[in-house]
Amino acid sequence: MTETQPLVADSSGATWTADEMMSIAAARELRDGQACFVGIGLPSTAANLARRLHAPGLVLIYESGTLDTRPAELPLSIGDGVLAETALSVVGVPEVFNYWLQPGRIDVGFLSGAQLDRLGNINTTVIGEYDEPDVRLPGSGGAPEIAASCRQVIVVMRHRARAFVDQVDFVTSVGQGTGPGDRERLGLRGAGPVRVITDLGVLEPDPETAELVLTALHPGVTVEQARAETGWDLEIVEELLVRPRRPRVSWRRCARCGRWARERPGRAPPRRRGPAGRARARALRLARLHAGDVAPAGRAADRAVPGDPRGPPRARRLAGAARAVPDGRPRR
Amino acid sequence: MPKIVSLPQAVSDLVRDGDTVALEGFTHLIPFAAGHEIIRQRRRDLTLVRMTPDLVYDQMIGAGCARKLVFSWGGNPGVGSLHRMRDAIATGWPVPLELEEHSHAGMANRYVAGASGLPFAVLRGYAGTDLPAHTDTISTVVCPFTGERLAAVAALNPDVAIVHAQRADRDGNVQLWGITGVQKEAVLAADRALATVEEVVDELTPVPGAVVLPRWVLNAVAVAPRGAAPSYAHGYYDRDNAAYRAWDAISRDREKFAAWLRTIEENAPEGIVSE
Repeated sequence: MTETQPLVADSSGATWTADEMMSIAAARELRDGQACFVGIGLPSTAANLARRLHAPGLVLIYESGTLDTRPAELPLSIGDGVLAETALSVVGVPEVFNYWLQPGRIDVGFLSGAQLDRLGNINTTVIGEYDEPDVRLPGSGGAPEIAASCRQVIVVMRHRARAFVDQVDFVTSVGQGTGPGDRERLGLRGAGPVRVITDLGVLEPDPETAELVLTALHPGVTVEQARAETGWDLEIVEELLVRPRRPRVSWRRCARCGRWARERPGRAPPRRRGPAGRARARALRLARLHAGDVAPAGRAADRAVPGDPRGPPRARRLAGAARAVPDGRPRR
Repeated sequence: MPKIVSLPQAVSDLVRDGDTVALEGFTHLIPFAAGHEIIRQRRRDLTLVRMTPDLVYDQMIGAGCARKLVFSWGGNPGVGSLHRMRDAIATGWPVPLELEEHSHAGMANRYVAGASGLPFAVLRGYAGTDLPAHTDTISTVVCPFTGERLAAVAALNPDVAIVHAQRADRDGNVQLWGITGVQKEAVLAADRALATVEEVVDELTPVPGAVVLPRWVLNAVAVAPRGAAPSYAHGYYDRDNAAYRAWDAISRDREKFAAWLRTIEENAPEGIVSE
């Protein structure tokens, strides 16, 4: 199942695979203190990576009923013994779904699938007709309720034309359903998929049409590649971001308002500050945050420009390929 | 009163052709030894119920025990597909397999309703998915207090539930811990119940988070050392991940599977037959 071919190499000769790229991109989506419903495979790798790096207080919940588990090694299944041994508490399966997932206590759910459509609906049931499938897939598992009830869903899957389809053959888990407003109509209380992380880049739903549009590319990937592997006419946001290989950003939460602010290096290297200096810098940064001139954390933080008269970022088709060639650096 | 009996005796007494049988254990404590004994006793036309069919149902389906599968996720965890199950669905080999498919939350709630003596359970689920169009045991219900429309799933009441546990005392009270899944609900929802255990002890000393199944809800208790392998028994032995990976090649090929089946049918493990 794993794709181990090196995808990209940088000038130092270091290489990484498509799966590693996705795992790291997914890990960067998680923030300290969040509660995360974790499936096996890439989501488990990403969540455990985030917990080891920037989010030591990340709460991992597996559908086997292990709450706040801290495995020292990556499990092969969602019910490995190491998950129970290192959990704060182990509850039964009815409880994990009814008491913990259903009421909306989980911040982030990770999902993957065999097919994903332009509206973020996911198929893990069948390719072809249900009664006479071309390929019988494992089925629902916990995914439909994760998609329904987590505050946000992050989808992690390899970007291939056969998987990124105009319409899924079977709706196992609902993304934006039939379009804007459908989740509310169906009574689904979470936001649904807010990001789709692939081995080529990142897709996010357009705020108006709910259709997934390309918002970021991994280094070394072109817009043409992403378009070729997408089964619908993929829109590209104007502020297309090239994901940095080593983002040296950290997050701070404001004690007063609870909002998160990004701290970017280069302005004032934190290493050379003492505790008093760090406190002064944080106060300054949060003052700017309250004044609205620092990008707050959130779904569009990487590209949103607060106060931009054009309003929130929209999907805008690029006129041609000329502007689509990334230079390897994130646009500020 | 439950009796501590041999596994062949327990399966012979409790599992009949045509029964609805639930072997539960969520990744952990999967009752493989009992599943293999059902294969050896050549039970047929079973409706097999299990949230995650796992290798044990792949084996029972390939052996021709099942007419129908009620499930919510049918894969080899972390490895890939269950090829015997897929073969039965696609080609009807060795016998055709009917499906009744749910989500995990739906299955868990069906067991809860069954254990609670209720005809159905209510949950937030299935809205907007294609599953209700294919599964008769999913419907909707309107809340009499708020008017909200919610999913309803029919109760599950298997003829027989089979679970594996760490240990029993000499009276037949059973104790299991670690990931406890839906075993308690499955046992309480079923007409008859069998627990296989790693060992019988004089006293069930308390273990944090343990589930105790009292002797009067069990029809039989059978000792089956390593009875959950290649899954695991918390505190006794680890999951044999290599066996799960190796199953993929056996399951893909009917001949390799047939060879595996012969080893199961001909060689009951030590400590299981004799009592």
